[in-house]
Amino acid sequence: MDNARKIHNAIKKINSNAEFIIRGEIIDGIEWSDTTTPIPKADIEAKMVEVQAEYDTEEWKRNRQSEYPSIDDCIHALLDGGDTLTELQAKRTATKTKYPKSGA
Amino acid sequence: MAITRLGPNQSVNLASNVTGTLPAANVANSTLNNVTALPAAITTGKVLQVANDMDGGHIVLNNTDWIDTALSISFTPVSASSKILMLATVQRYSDGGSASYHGEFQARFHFNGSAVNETYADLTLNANPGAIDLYNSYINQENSPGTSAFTIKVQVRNPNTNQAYCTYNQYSGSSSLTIWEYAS
Repeated sequence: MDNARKIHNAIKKINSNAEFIIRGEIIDGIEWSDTTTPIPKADIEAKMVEVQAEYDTEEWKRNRQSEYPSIDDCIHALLDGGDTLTELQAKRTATKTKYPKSGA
Repeated sequence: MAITRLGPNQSVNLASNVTGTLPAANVANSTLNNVTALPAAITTGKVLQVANDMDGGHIVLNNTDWIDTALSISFTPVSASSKILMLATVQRYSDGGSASYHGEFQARFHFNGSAVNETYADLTLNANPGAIDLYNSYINQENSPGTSAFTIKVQVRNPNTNQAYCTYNQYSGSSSLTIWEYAS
């Protein structure tokens, strides 16, 4: 996850209604809207650690999504049934085996 | 070669007494400044001035307030009857978190202290995994710019901060602002 998105997600986790911009992908580049109470830099940095940890634990999900058959393929398989559906289910199972859930 | 001796009250006739090519070093800007009209055979263009600015600065947009980008040009028209054409090409990135919604993004020009040509760009393309990275172009024209100096800026905002991760100049992208003054 790039630093700008990490800062963004950390702020939104602390205050989902916060309005701000971030220039230059750094915490010092945050400019708060007049309607938002600025969040201390240390609080944002602490929350960024959480954001990164959550992102890392969901790597299996991103990997599966990138390799699963497309929605179109799924619709065709459901309508066609038979071998087409069996093959698609086998692909999904193989992907799940390749990328097990974190901690599983 | 015949040699003509000039008498005390005679002058050189440039038409009949002088031949050859004038050395380039003898042609000065100050001399050319006295030329006020070009021969009709020479076609003149209508673009009088062009200026450009580039910006590669990254900005995360989680703001409904308009903010300045670094795209800014100070400009002085040479003629009050000119028109000013402005074109901004802005790199934007939106990730709405779904395959059918990609967030919102707005840009506008700021001409001499006033906002003009606010443009709405709401994207709902069908693209997986929900992130799009593209260039939007914005164009505007000022018909009576006068001859005083003015500044043109580009401003951006994300009008729907709860819906998407929205940035300007993502992935080392860059945006540009170009203005033309042309004779109308």
